[in-house]
Amino acid sequence: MKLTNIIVVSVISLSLVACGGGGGDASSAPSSTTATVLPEADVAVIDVIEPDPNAIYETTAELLVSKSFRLEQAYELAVSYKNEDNRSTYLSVCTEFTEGKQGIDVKYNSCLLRTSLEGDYANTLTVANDKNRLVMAIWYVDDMENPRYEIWENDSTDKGVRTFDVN
Amino acid sequence: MINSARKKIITGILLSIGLSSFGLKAQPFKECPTEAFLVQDKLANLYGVQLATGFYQKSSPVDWNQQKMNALAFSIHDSYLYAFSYYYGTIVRIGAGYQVDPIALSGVPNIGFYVGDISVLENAYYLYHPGSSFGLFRVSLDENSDDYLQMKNVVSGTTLNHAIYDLAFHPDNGFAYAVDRWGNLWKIDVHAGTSVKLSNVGEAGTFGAVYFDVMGNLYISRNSDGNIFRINTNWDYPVAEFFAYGPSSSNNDGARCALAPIVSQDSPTTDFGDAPDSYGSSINNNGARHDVGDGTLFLGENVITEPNAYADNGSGVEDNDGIQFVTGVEAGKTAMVDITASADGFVNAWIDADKDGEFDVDEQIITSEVVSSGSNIVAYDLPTWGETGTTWARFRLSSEESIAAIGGVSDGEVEDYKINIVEQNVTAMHYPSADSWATLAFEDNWPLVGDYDMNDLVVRYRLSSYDAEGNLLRVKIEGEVVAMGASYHNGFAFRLPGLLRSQVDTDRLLFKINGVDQNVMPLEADKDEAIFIIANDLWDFVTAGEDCKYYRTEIGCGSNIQMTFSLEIPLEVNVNKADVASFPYDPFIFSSEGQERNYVFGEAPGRRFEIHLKNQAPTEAFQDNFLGRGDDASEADSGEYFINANGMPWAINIPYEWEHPVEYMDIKYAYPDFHRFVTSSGQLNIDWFTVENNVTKNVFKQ
Repeated sequence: MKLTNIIVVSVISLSLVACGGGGGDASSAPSSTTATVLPEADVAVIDVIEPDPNAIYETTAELLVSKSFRLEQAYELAVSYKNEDNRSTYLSVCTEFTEGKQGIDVKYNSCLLRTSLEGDYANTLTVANDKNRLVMAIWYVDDMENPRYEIWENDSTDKGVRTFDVN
Repeated sequence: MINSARKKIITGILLSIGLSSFGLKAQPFKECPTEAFLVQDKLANLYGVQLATGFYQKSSPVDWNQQKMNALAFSIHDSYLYAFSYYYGTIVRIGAGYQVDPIALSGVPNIGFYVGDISVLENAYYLYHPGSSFGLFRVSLDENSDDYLQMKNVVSGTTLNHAIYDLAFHPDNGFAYAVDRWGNLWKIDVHAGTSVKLSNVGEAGTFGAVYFDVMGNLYISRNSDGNIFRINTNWDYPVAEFFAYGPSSSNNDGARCALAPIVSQDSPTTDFGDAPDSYGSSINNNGARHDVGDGTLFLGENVITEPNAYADNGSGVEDNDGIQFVTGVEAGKTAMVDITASADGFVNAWIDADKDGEFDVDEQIITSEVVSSGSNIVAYDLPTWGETGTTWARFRLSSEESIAAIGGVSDGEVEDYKINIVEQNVTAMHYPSADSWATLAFEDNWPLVGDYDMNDLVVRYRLSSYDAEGNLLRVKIEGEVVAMGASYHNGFAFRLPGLLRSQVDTDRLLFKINGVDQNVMPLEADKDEAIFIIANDLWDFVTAGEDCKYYRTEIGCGSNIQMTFSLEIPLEVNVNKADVASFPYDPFIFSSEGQERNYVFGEAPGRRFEIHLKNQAPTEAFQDNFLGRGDDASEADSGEYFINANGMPWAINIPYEWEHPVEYMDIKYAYPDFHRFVTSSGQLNIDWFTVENNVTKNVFKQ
């Protein structure tokens, strides 16, 4: 395994010596675990691209991408909170929190949204793909000792608009 | 007054023992210790004092059984402590094990001395007692001198007449310094027996213990309240500044090695804040600092000691963990914090509400608040005059009830936080979150396909927007240049699509690079759109490592982050938030003026050259006919920009603190799941970019 890795690095180094400042061109991109030469056609003449999820490419230069796919690594989450009695409230939606014997401990510097409210609230957040659990922390100005926490978990099988509604 | 009969008996005993024997028993202290020494009480106790914080603990053993001592002095010549013993009626030498050896002297007057120190420049002990029969005396401790252990009067107390209670020798000028009961600072020439008044330091009282540090700062400890003041004797008119809360005593004398820094560099016991130094953070600026003491009182889960503010303690542990801002900080409104304390204590806190770089008295938001072990929800009011934008907050926990925003205390912890003051009822949105990073990775060989190591330029950034009632009020952009694995000269900018240049309140705009305000206006001139130029050429701000071709992309070419930036962009009124694009706006790179690009361009393309994220239209500065050159397969009519024929872009955006591939390493070999994510159009392996999913040896590590 180690030997293979050394070969990869060597091939890459040798092939890119002439790349100059901006990096390499397609023909000099890192090739593979073996020193095969890449076909020139990989980046030039394909008209309609619909990538095959099961395709395996040796290098990124060969990779086919749907033109409409912007490589976004985040998803949209519609959040809403219904403020029953129009209480003076401070609402935060955050990604880092722990659940322990003392209750929920929210790291407020991980928040995506922070707002003070007198009524209902709704907004749409952009959430990183690696964040699958969010907490809504609701603090009441008239009852400081009793904040409310609601936890949302992403259902990765849900392809529709994700929603985090708290009533 | 020493009992003369007892003194004669003791002297006789000492002489019969012989002077050569005392040195065999006691071992010296370690060379030039950082802590100060303090001797107190009628039945003497010796304490070690951290002058920086006032923390002290008894050093002498419980069964020390020594009678009153005073005129304590540390000798840098042999690393022993010396004092005048009222019991023996002569000076004593104290070793590291606290053995006390009396030393017989000739010519000792029949009086006790409570003022004294040993010179740094000569091995001689100077003792002072006021009164016409006494005055200043010199004892040579140099066994090679002719007057070894002879006590000689330098000047009478009539000529040198001061109400002083201790003196200390300057580390390098040979003069002794003392502060009298009225606060007058005296510089004493111990050879001539003369003195000069330098100033009135502004603090009066009995300063029974005074000390120097290696920088020429004189520390004076007031017996009545234990307060320690610092006097910079290098100033033309030295004055006292409050420095720390120390131990109080009616009988007090101190000494320290004048050549030692005030905080140990090797074994610090002190916690500092980390706000900019205008707030008072470093020791030089009398920064807020706490002795960790017995380690029982701190904020959050832990506290880490450090030799000074901003010093890397090397532990990798984040100890700024005791304060949670459970609500935002809105000018003129009540807000809440959750303060986690390890034990009972008092919290004092400040917010720099007027953003002038200092914690003023009227900016104290929490005063002497009693907290107990665990979580404490505390409400506070922010002044109506609080200015919106980034500022700093300081929280101090101590057993001391009332403390200032600066200075030392003997226990607890200080934690400083960079916060945002917002208008009332504002919604703050953050991308990817309030304190995490997103990453932009560029291949800059456009319109030619690159090598896909995705490290020609790597920028980490975060975005915040603030809106109220549908109007966008402010935008904040922060970032740092993490890597540059190419030699092309690139500028870096953000466009806020949908926002016009005229909608930016340029008078209040703040632009910093590496924390320093920039004089240049980042808002690009002569454009309709709001485009913010972070840098026209990033190579102006970073350099490759030694023997390295690029900046932080090659193995063994790590360095610190050399460029950070922040932009606070206030907007004019009535900017409809719905008209402005959502995160991540439009970050892009452009070619620096006069710098050649690849062969596709006949001349240096300069600002007309841009690379944006996939399918992001270029700005009005872009030269449209660049599209389609080389490997570029953009179709503007279809909204397809900056892609090649395979649909691959030259830039990707990752809402994560992404570790970029090392130089020449295809992203596939650094992140094996990347291809599947792409070919599935984002349906599979959606977290391909996390540290758990990379090949460690193929990504750049500092």
